[in-house]
Amino acid sequence: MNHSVISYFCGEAFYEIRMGLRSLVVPLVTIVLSIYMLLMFLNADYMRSMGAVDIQRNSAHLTYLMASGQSLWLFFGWAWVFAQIIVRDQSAALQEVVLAAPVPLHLTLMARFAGALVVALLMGASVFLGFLAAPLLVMVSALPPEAVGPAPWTAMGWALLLFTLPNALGTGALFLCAAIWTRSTAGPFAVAAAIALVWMVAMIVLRGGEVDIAAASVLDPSGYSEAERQSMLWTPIEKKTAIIAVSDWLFYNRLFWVGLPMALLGYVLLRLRREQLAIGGDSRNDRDDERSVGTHQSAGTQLPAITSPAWLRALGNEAIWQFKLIMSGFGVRLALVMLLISGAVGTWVNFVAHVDGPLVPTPQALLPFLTEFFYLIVIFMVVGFIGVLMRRDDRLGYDEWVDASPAPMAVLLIAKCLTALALIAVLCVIPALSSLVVTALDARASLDFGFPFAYMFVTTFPALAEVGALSILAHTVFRHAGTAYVVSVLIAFIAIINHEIAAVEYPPWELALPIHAHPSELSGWGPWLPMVSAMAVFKLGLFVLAVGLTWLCWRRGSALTGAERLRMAAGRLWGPAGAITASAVFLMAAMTSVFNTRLIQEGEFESKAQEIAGDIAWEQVWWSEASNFKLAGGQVEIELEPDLRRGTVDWELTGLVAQQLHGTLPHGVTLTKATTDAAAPAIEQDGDHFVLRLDGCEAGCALRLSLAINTQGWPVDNAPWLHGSGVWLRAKDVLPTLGHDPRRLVRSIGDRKAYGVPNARPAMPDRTALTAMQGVAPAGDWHWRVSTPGGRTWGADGQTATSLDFAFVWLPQAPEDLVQHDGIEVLVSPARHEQAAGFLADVTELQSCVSGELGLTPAVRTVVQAPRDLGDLAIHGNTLWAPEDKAWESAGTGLGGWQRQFNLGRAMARSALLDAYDLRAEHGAQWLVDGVAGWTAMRCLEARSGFEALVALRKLHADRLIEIFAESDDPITTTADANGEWLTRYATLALENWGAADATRTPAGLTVALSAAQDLPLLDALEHTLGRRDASALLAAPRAGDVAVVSAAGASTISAGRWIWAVNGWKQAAPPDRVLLRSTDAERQWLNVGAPGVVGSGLLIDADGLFERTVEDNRLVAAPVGDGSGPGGR
Amino acid sequence: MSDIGLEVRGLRKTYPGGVEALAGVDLSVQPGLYGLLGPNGAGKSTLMRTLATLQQPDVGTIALDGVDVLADPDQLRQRLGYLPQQIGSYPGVSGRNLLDRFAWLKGRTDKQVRRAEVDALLERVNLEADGHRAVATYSGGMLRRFGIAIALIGAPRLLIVDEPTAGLDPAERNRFHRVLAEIGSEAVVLLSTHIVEDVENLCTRLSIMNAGQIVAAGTPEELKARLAGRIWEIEVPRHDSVPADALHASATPHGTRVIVEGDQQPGYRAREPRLEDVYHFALNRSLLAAA
Repeated sequence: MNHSVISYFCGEAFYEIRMGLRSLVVPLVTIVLSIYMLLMFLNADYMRSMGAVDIQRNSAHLTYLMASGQSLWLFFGWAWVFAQIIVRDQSAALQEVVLAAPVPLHLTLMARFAGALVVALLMGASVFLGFLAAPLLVMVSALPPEAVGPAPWTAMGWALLLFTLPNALGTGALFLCAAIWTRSTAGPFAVAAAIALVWMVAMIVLRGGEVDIAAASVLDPSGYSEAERQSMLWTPIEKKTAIIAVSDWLFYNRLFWVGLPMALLGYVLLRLRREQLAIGGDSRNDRDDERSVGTHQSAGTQLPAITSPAWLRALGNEAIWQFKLIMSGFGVRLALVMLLISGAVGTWVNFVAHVDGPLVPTPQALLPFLTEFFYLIVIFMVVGFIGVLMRRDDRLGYDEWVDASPAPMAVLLIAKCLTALALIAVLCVIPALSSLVVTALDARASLDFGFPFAYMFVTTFPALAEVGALSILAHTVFRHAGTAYVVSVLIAFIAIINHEIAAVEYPPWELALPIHAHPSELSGWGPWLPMVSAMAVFKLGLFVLAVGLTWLCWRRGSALTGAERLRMAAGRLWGPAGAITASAVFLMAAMTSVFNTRLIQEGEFESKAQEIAGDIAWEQVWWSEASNFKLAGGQVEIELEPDLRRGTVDWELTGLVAQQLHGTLPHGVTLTKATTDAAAPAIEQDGDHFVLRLDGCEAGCALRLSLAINTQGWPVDNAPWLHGSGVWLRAKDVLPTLGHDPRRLVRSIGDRKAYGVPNARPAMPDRTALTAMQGVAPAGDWHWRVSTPGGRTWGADGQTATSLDFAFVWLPQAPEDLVQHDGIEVLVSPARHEQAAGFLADVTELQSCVSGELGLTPAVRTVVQAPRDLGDLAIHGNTLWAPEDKAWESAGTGLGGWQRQFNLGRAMARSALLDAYDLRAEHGAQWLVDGVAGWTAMRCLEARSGFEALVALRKLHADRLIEIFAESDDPITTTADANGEWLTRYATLALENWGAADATRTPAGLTVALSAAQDLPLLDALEHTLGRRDASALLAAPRAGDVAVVSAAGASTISAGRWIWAVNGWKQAAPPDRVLLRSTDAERQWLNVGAPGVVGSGLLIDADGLFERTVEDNRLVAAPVGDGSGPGGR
Repeated sequence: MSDIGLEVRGLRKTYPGGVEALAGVDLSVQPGLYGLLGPNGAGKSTLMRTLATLQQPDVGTIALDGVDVLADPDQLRQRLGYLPQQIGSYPGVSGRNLLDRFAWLKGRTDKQVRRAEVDALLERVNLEADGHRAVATYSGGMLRRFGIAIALIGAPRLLIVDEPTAGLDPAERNRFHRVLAEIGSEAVVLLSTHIVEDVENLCTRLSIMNAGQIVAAGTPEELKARLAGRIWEIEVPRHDSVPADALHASATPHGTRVIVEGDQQPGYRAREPRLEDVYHFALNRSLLAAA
């Protein structure tokens, strides 16, 4: 390359950089993305979801996640940047001048590509700008100093090289190719949308559905999937410093997304001819039609003058015309068909062919998935469609014709809005159709033609309408199409981020997010309808507001200055535009007030920050006041008026021994009166906590509590339990939980620091001051009765000698067929009748197994299909509470069926344990209940479904456990004082490993020994039961092991390592000398670690009360090889 | 002020940056073809766009048949036909379809009447055989004809045509002139151009505009009569310099034809004043006045 070529290349590249930087798009993206990054750092919930509350918020692992994740949005900005290489000359009508220049065309384009790449990198670097600006948040006291560390230069450099640069390079090549082919920005934007679609398939179908993590990592155009996969496994210490590895998957990903596009660009440039670019994109046929010359005759038709136009008809014509024009495009129709097919295939993969499946594809289960599946692509399609719609007349002459036409502004504006709504409606129909296809194929009993459309139009349509209206407003405000597109995409991006991380928690402010509603098969829409309707009205109010503002800002005419536009807007304030805007503002303000009442005052909405602040305040005020109490039992009388969503409770507690009684009221329940035999103690209430100072109860008394139920509030997280369409009640919904619950103490060090309380949680009071582990009150002689007007009830009365817990169901009309099986009555929706038989077979088999394994029999008399979002699979009293989303999605076979069996077994074992031991929320209780119940369930799973089922569940729990350890915000301490999901899984796996070492270690053996030590404090009793060594191992900090079979030169050896958790990370511990080979027939054999030529078949287990990190490499399947010296002795 | 035709009084428009595009324009246009001549940057397009309600003047009044246009722009829009200076292509739509669309935007909402009008207009501009074709495939001449069809929707009372014949071949241009002449028999047609010949052939009256002002107005004959006996021409050999007082000059095969205004000078031939001479005379005079 000679000097002049280099000089030309550099000059052209610099020109491209200058022109790129001169546009509004680059500073807009840079500023907004940097500010957005800072907002993310401030959002504790987001940081919590990324595992970055107790570590610095600008830590290395976030750099990788952000650099790769933000690419998704940058693709659209980059599409514009790379399109300018071709489009800029055309816009200035200079393409022929440029193309006539005596310079090789490919040199010009490559120089411009290099310049555009620099611009793209500068845009991408705005992510890092946010990281560098993080100390500003400390300077303005928005974050504590320890929340921000030194700038992660190494991580940023590596992220730039590994993600930002390759992403810009690869997609830039694709965008340039598209711009060359289409000679417009439409091509690059279409490619950006296609890339987003690929991302969606990779992240939601392949990764989210756990179909193929490797394929997801390779296919994801942003690299986020692999960055997340690696960083999710890092401990907090590693998150601060670790360097992301160029794994095979990441290497192939970069090769796929950089190598192939660059090769394609090279091919396109080699074949490109100047005339291909010289011919304008719009004028494919430039020849004159000679017939026109000289053959003209004037038409003599005399038409009536236009006197009174029917503008309503014109509006209809215009809206239909605009809609038909967009829908007539072959690409659009093809895209819609592809969406329909991909929706059906994606749904099939995620349900029928799910790795946890097969799952039953009911409409109620499919639609929330499909909404999420389509959200990303649909929101970008809305933005794209609106852009096309709004910019359709931005062509020489036509914009002036439209502006000079007598059609009122309202006709032009409303026609566009109607078209936008129609397009959004089409996009809502696609997921509904996809769900119908899959349901019709695999769950015909659940087929409901109305529900999918109702769901999409009630929950998603208003949200997309918000995006549509804001895009319309952006295109009206900004004359420059590129700026308007970027602003629109930015709106979509913010909506997507909020969708992914729930940065905004208050439902009405969740801009452009679908309304959360999960109607169930038995309860239907009824409980959700008021909230959903109000949310839809609010969102459509925002749509109308945006339409009103658009009307105010509407540009009619050319060369309007900002001042002129402001004057015009001010002039329109007193017309229909102002009236619409004012009406929308009034409507939204009124709805805001309604939301405040229904969601906050009467409902249970609390932001995460409010919840933490409330818990901290509770700890500071009430924890030290914990007071012992004992009960003999009592009687509960409940009267419900489902239609009014009200009721009363009369709760008599007998044999109460206490000086004070503390309790926590459920939401919607107020304590109206308390009386003892002698007096009426005053009720001190602070939020949901109350205390009664009791006189004369030191030796025992009877206390009567009167409670009022009023559940007018709207649901946020959980489904409503009291409604005219059905009542789904558990004791904790109507009765206060007595005592102090240590699970309410805030554990996160970051949160404790933020609220100025000591890092260490306060000491535990005596166990008798604590809440019962199950239900609302400790064991006693309890009786309950629930009254409702008419209808059909389940569990309307009962009694127990264990802790007070029960469930009650009321339906205004009983389902036509009720299922009975072995004396168990089952309430399921008609669509579940076929499924119910298999479910009940699992229930009875596991009931029998748990009884045998544990020596304690769980009582199940009724099985209830509870609504979605209404608790977990559990036994309340003698009712098996089986929510639709937790218990009924599995078809009962495969991994999903095994998980169902495990969950059923665990629920029964938990119930049996809690019934047998009057446990309070004391140290060790959670471990005992979760661990022993989980261990029992694992054994029952193996008994029912075999060894492979056991191995599969071990792997599933271990995989999830590693993720939880990495992302946990709460400090990992000891299993004795922990709670939460990690303990549940860890205790199960650790006990399962511990039990594997010795056939005499069984759940029944443990419960028998524990019963014998029941007079001791629980931790002492556990030490007595397990033995000091094992108790200290099982109840201390979590431990991990990694056993692997290493095959080399035809011989197998065993490697093993151990780690123990110590302050935010794993610390290596002494490895074991031997491991256990557990064969499929439950035979046990000890093998030495490191010995060559091991022999055997089965699963290798480090049977020392810890969990195995990677189960998949623990299988020993090798045929006898080696010198035969392998097996070690017991 | 007449109640018939278009009356413009004291129209001023200054763009941000201080460019005064209209510096007090007064114009009175009766039914028929009215020409607006002026060099590039004279303010013609600003005046056209202002008359077409596409931009607001800073001050001044515009009335069509006595109705205040600035107060009620919709009243004018219903009676306006406008042919912009440039017409691009429009992808994905046939000519008939797009014409149909602009017809309902013009207020022609009765479907049958609209269809009849679309047919008639396509026939009038000789595009009836090409109405089904995508507008994006039209040639430059076809686009201009298509543009005039759009401008003629609803039989406008005021037709504003901005540089209508730019880029047309002679045959297309002639035919376009015939269409304009037809319309001019019923409506006020304002023809903005810098092609003097077009105005000379078509218009009964004209104005010459420069630097945002009307510097001359009248019928072509009146304007030419003012220069009768005062226009002289001479052919200067190729390498000789053009006289400093030349009104305008044009190239010939052997040199340059120079036109001057004033008293007879030695070597100069008398020349029958043409509109072109009037145009240059008016521009020069306005420049001198400004100086």
